[in-house]
Amino acid sequence: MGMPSNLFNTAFKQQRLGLMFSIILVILVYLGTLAMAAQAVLARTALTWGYDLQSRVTIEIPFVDDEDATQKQDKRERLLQLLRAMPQVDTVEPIDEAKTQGLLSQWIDDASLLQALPLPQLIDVTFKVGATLAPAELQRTLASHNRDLRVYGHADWMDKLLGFLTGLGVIATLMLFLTGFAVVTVISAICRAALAVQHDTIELLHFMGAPDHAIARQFQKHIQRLAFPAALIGFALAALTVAILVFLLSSLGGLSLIAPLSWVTLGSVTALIPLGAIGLSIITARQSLLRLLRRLG
Amino acid sequence: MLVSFEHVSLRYPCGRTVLNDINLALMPGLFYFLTGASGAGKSSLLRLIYQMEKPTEGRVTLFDRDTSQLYRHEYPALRRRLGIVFQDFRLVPHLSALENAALPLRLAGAERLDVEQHVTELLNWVGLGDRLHALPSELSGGEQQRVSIARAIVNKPRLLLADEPTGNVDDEASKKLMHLFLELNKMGTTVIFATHQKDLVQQYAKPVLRLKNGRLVSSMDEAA
Ligand SMILES: Nc1ncnc2c1ncn2[C@@H]1O[C@H](COP(=O)(O)OP(=O)(O)OP(=O)(O)O)[C@@H](O)[C@H]1O
Ligand SMILES: [Mg+2]
Repeated sequence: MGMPSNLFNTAFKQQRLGLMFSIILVILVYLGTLAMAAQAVLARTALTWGYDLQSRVTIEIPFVDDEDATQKQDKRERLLQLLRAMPQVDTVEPIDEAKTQGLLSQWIDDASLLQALPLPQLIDVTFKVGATLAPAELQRTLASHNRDLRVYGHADWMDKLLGFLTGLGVIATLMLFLTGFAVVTVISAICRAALAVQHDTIELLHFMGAPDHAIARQFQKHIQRLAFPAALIGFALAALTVAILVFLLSSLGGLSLIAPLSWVTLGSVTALIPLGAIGLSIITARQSLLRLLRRLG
Repeated sequence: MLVSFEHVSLRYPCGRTVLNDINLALMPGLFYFLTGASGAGKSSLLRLIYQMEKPTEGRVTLFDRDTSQLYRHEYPALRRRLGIVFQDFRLVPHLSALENAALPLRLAGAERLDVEQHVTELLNWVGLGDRLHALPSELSGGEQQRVSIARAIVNKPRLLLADEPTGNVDDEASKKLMHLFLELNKMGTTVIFATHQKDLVQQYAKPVLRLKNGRLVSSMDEAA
């Protein structure tokens, strides 16, 4: 059933309803896309970190004054063997003394002083999936071998950080829902306003035998024409914002904090927002118009 | 029976009774005049037919359907068989004369180009060939009325409800439009022509429905 495509122009122009709708949708898609991007990155980061910190401990062999290099090495080798024999342990990796010194060299210029520093030996241990040992437990187990060993987990402070991340994730999800709710509310309001402006036209269409669904479809097309560019602009702005954030973060060197999430994944996850906004707009426009028309009698 | 009223009364909310115990039965294919003084209820009677108003009492039957039993989704098909010339034209203000007159065909799903050609011919016929793309606000009352007539007859309705369709045009144009309605009637459209122009009614030997004080006082053969 055809109708002139400009049938509802008056409503959208006269009250600037079209412009208002477009601007609001741009903003909502922008916020929604950012929230979605944040949500995706946070979820991924929390997952990676959560796994990492549970399955990884660092063992410290304290520095002993009168030990020479071979003794030191013996001690380490025996511990390594012991660790590798444990069924829960996945990888065992001694951290190079040179690497530890390298880290410190940023603060200490004097090479001879660096050499003389009483540095502990460090060993990174990761556990097999599902076979994690708590740091205290591992320290107790190893105590029979060497009472001075210290086992550090990363869990304590990471737990707090993770809680924070989860909180942020919840907020982002909430924002998504609020955005969707706002889209529905705005469109319902616009439908009501448009219908009020064009009450006469709609009554006329009824008298000429236009069924409700045809009138609603025409209206829906109008919303659709407005929603596509608005959603695109909102999404583009959000992408630009993310790009700027990434640039700033990487120039601060903080990018490695964020778990690697490929651009493709991030892009396709966040693209759900403009698509969803368009879909939601169309469905809402159609449904609220049908409801209003039925009430019109 | 195309249209029948059985003991139909109409009272507008918080108003007086406009139509009182109306009984009528209209045969398909005839041309009826509907007359009465201004305010007698001519437009109200037509509104009962095209379902803008519901009777306060009594029963209105349209195309053999009791309209009180109709579901909402049944109205469109029924109304598409009607052509309505509204007393106040009811043109869509931002559509051109051509687009306005073409609405019923577009609603019926006709191809855009066919529609344009057909409607242009019709508008030519009613003397608006050079005003096709004018907006209603750019047309005189008589011109708007002719657009509204073109719109009402463009899809050859089975029943044409014309409310003072010649009220705003000169005698010459009035005659021409009358001719148009009579031609349409010859092709099978039943016409109800509401007017208070007594001379017009007298010129044609057609059945007359006369309203007075809310009642039908017609003598069907009055004009004969
Ligand atoms: N919507 C309405 N609400 C209340 N009263 C109305 C309404 N429409 C019409 N009336 C009243 O009903 C009566 C009949 O009106 P109607 O329009 O049917 O008369 P008419 O015969 O068409 O008159 P005219 O020749 O001037 O067009 C009038 O007294 C009018 O005031
Ligand atoms: Mg009237």
